[in-house]
Amino acid sequence: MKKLNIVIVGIGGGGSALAPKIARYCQYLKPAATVNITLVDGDSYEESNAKRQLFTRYGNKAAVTVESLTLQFDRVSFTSIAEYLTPDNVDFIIGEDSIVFLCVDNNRSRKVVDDYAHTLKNVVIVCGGNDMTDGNCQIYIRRKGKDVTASICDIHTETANPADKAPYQMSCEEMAAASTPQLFFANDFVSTLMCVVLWQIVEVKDFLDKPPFGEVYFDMLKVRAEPVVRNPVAKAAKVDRKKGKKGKKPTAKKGR
Amino acid sequence: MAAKKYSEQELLGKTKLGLRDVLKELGLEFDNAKSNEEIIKMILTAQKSGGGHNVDNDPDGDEEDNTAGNVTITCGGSTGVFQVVGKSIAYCRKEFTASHNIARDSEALLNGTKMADENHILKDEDYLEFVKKSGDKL
Repeated sequence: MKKLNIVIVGIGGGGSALAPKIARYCQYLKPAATVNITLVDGDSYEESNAKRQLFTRYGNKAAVTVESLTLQFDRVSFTSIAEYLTPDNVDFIIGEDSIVFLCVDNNRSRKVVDDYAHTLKNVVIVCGGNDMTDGNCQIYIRRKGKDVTASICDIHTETANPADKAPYQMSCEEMAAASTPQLFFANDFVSTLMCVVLWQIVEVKDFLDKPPFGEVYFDMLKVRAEPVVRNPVAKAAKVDRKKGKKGKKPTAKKGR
Repeated sequence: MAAKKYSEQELLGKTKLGLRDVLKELGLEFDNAKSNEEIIKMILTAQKSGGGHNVDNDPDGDEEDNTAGNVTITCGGSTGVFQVVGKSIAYCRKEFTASHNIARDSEALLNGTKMADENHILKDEDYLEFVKKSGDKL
């Protein structure tokens, strides 16, 4: 691949573990490729995050991580967007031919991305999630306007009908209450599975046309990872292209 | 141990309660809204597909074994191949709940297709998945 347009949404436990791995891989790609990595998060690092999240100073998660990665990986171009992903800015954040890594902790944001992805011709969504000791990584591929795999919401009804709220819909008190204990290793396990997907996209011939799996589950107690095939589900177009959208575009800050 | 195979005549002589016990033997779910005739039809179909074994009428054991073969059952990181051909999805859900950590509300996918009818009888080389919910966090 000559050009990679990578978007990482959510730079918390999973995203902060994922971003350096992906940046390192892209830095040393052979043959070299033009790589743009956009990091998106409206939240800020604080002391309570230190147990699971990788950061060098307090501040906006996307901006702080881009600052750190820019110093380490000079062949990669980084951009930070210090906002939460919402239905109003999703079309600005995710473009055609993007590879999107969804590292969010709520089904509502996953659904926003899944719905929007249906309007694109070529896009890959890699969606991670974990509980305490297990989790999963889903892959949704669209090529030439058609689903190659089932979408995130096709299989997972809890994502299709989210009962939770996205961060942009929550007050500070609600966000604090929504916080549940997690294990760094579970976050890291998911991020590694997501890296495996990127590696297969770049290195394995025909992966995007004939992926051998559409979801991978892992269980740290059983020390297992289990791939599952996710064939596309026949359906009518779910979402029309957004027309004449209003609202302020988010501010992107270039890392270099 | 394989379940006994019943003739239509035997089933017609049973009460609804008796039919419920037969369904249980076959690993099928009982639905009180169904009539005796519907339940009998369900049992006969299940037996024909391989559920149950005719111990009474096949003393030599030379009847074709419709329960031969394997089914892959998976849920999250747990997977395995099991001899449950002729059994229903509902039976597998119940039988593998503990070992595969199957949630009560998880959807069943048979060979990649969502299955609303959990009385569906499994065949050789079927791939049965109980969809584990996505991890909430990251």
